[in-house]
Formats: sequence, structure tokens, C-alpha cells
Amino acid sequence: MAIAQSQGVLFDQLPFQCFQEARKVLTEDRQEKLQQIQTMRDRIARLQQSDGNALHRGGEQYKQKRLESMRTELEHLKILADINDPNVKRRFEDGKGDMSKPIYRFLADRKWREYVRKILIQRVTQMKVVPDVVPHCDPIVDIKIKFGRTNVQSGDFVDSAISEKPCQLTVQSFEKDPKLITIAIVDPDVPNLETDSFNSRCHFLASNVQIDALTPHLDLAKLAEEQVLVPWLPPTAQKGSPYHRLSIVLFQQKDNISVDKAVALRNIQQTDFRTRSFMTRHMLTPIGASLFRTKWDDNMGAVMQRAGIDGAELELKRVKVQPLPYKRRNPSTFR
Amino acid sequence: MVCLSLRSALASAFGIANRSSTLGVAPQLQHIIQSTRHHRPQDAAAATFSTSSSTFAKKKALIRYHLYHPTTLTPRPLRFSRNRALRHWTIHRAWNLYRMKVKRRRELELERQYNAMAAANEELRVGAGDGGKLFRKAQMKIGTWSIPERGGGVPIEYARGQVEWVGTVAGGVGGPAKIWDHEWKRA
Repeated sequence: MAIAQSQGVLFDQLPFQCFQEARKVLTEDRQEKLQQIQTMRDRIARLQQSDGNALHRGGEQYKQKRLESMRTELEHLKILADINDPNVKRRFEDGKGDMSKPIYRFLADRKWREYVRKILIQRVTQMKVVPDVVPHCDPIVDIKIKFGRTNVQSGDFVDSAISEKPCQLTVQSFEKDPKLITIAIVDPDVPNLETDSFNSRCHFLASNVQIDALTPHLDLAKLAEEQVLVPWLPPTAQKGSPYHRLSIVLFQQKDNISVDKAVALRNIQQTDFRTRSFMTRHMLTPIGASLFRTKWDDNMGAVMQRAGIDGAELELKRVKVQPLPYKRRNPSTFR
Repeated sequence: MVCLSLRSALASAFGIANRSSTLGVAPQLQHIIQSTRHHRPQDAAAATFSTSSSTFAKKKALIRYHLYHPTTLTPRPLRFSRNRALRHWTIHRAWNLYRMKVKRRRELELERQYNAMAAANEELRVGAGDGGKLFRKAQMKIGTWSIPERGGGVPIEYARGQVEWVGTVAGGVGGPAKIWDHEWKRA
């Protein structure tokens, strides 16, 4: 009862000798790091003001490269200053980390990379989104898919009634600077009966969407007119066709330059959307990928009719491959 | 009764089986150890001990538990509360940081010493004014361990440490040990 009624000691003041000695060591180290951060800031400021050509025979390029390295070092020092703080660790583990601070971004990134990113890469690679839709993807941002109230894990099957409306994405970036991204939702498994192969179909395309570490939520239904290049097409799959992979790929626009909507729309293929050519034309790099899957279910017919996609009354069947004429060579003399 | 030791006497007095420590030994080996021990009527009685007294039963159970659960081989994992875990983590980080600092300090000191020596040598080589003659004589240490008169190579005397008392075989089979012969000369 006495413990329940007492106010309690602050964690930092807990009277354990070893713990307090450790805190002393860490506080000293933090002071050192703060001083190093200050000197690095001063050095960067001084280098910025100096003349590149007078500095070194490498000139301006050398100066810029040196500034770049110094900035990276500064970021590294900022993280080193806070990484040993148990209060920071506690706050992060409780989910109360402020993403505007570099240390919490670092810890979130590290945690993401330990498990969730590995699962994402596994799903995307196993489902062959990576070679089929984009040639290579190194995920830098975390993507979470949500349809209304249902959370969808990467690779899950989504009922057609649920996916009729556009989804909400949570795109968590772990870098401070805002990015302009392009979101493409591509279905590479649309059966083409003439060629006996598959076409790619673009279900959603939006450009010039800004994300940063503090604003991860993205509702695809609420994007502006100028941003949306291809409005939401409900994912559908014909009966009898194998499941369709709906791959979600996030691209970063090079140097955050806006994608020209007119130019983009002029060059988008209607029947067979080629993600690779879209990527190269507008200089996009894939920074995140995810997927969900869809297959024929009871609501699909109605969804296809509303969306104006035909093929709802068809049922596809696999063509039996006729075996080549082959004389069975097992006369009694062989046995 | 034949008392082999005080230990066996105490064991028989308390009615506990006389096992000298088999801690850390696998159960299969313990069985072998037990079977090779001397079995006496008292021991047999202790082995077929019935649980009439609860304290004895508890003691027996405790001893057997510790026989089969050596705490050095597979220690039980600790479970900490939140604050305890954070304090542990803090101390761990601080200790590692401290060790890293000590190591770095030592490495930097060594580097400073090396650079100072290199600078001094360089100064001797170029700045002494004799064209590097003194530097070459003193500091160029090629062929340090070889004796050119004997054809180069490491002298064979390095293979054996210097001793005071030479073995009798080298000085003569069956003779007394000889003190180091300072007057010995190579033939």
C-alpha cells in the first residue's frame, strides 16, 4: 500500500550505484558528442563560405563533395549523441517517438529493416512483382495498405467489393526531407486470349504526391485532380483465370521534379501498360513496393459490370495441350 | 561398518546416499559412477528411501534437481522487468563505450608514438647533413638477426634458451651435471 501511494522515483534517479555510474559515463560522452556536433556545424558553415577554387585544385566539385561528407558525418554524430539514452529507448519502444527528430527516425528505420522490410521483400520477390513489373526495387519506405477499415497485409487476397473503392496507404519515410513520389498500381496478370499470354493493366497512377516522415497517411481517393493520372479502376479477375497480383509500386521523382501530366498521359498505353517505359521516361526510381491479390469471387460480376470491364460472363479454362503423336514403344519384345 | 571417510560417515548418519560430487556430469555417466561406488547395507537402505519424512524428501528432491540441472552448462534465462531491463541496457552500453574509449586512447597513443619515431627517423635521414649515413648505420635494420661471417641466417644458438646447468648427455653420458662452461670455444 505504501508503494502504491508513494509518488515513485524518476527512472534517472533510481538509486543503483552501477546504474548511476553508467549514467555519468554516458552523460559525459553525450556532452562530448554535442561539442563535436557544434564544431562540425561551424566547419560546414566556414567551408560553405570559402571559395572552392582557392581551396583545392578540385575546385567547386571538391568542395561540394566535402560538404556532403561533412553533412553525413553530422547526421551520424546526432544519432550517436542520443543512441545511449534509456529514456529515448523507452519512448521509442512505447511508440511515442517524435519522427521529426533524427534519432527516432533512425530507430524506426532500424526496427523496420530487422523484420517488416524483410517480409515485404520476400513477398514481393516470391510473387515475382520485382522482375515482372519493375526490374529492381530497394525499399526505403514502409507501405501499409488499408481498404476502409480492413488492414491488408502484403500479398493478401482482397474481396472485390472491398477493393472497389480506392485504398489508403501509409507510406512511412525515414528521411527528413520531403519527397515527391509517384504511385502506380499495376496488374500484370490480365489474360490476353489472342496472344495466349498476359497484359499489364494500370489500375491507378498518381504523381507529384509529397510525403515526409511526419505525414505518412495517404488516401488515394482524396488526391487532387492534377495529381491523378489514371483514376482508380477496381481490381477484377475473370473466372477461371489464376489470381491477379495487384502490385503497388512507389517511385521517387528524380530531384523532386514534377511529372508533366500532359506528357505522361500522352504516352500511357491503354491496353498493355508498360511500367518500365513510364519509369524511364520520367526518370523514376522505385523506393517501395507491395502487393495484394484478387481472384474471382461472388461480388466480382457486379463490380465488373459497374466498372465497365467486360468478360464477367466468360469462364476461362486452361487449354489442354495435345500431346505430340508418339508411338508407344513397349511391344512385348521390350518387356 | 567400514567408514571410508568422514563424508561417508555423515552420509550414513543422515541417511542420504553417499555421492561425491557429480555436478556437470551427464546422467548416463552419473549412473556408471554410482554403480562403481561401494554399496553397503546402509547405502542400500538409503537408496530405497521412502518418503515418510517431508523434509528428507524435499532435501532429496533438491539434491537430485541440482545434480541434473547444472547451472553452468545451461543457465536459466533471466527475465527482467522494464526498468530493470533498461538499467541493464544502460550499464551495458556505458561499459562498452568505456572499453571502446580506452582502446581508442591506447591506439591513438601508439599511433602518435609511431609517427613521432617515423618523423625522427626521417629527420635523421635527410636533416642530419651527412647524406643519411648515420641513419643507414643506425636505423636500417636489414639482416639484424643474421651473422654474415657464418653465412647469414639466424644463429642456431637462438633455438635453445640459456641455462645454468647443462645436461649430462651433452657434456658426457653418465657424468655429473655441469655448470655453464664460460670457457667453451667453438672448435
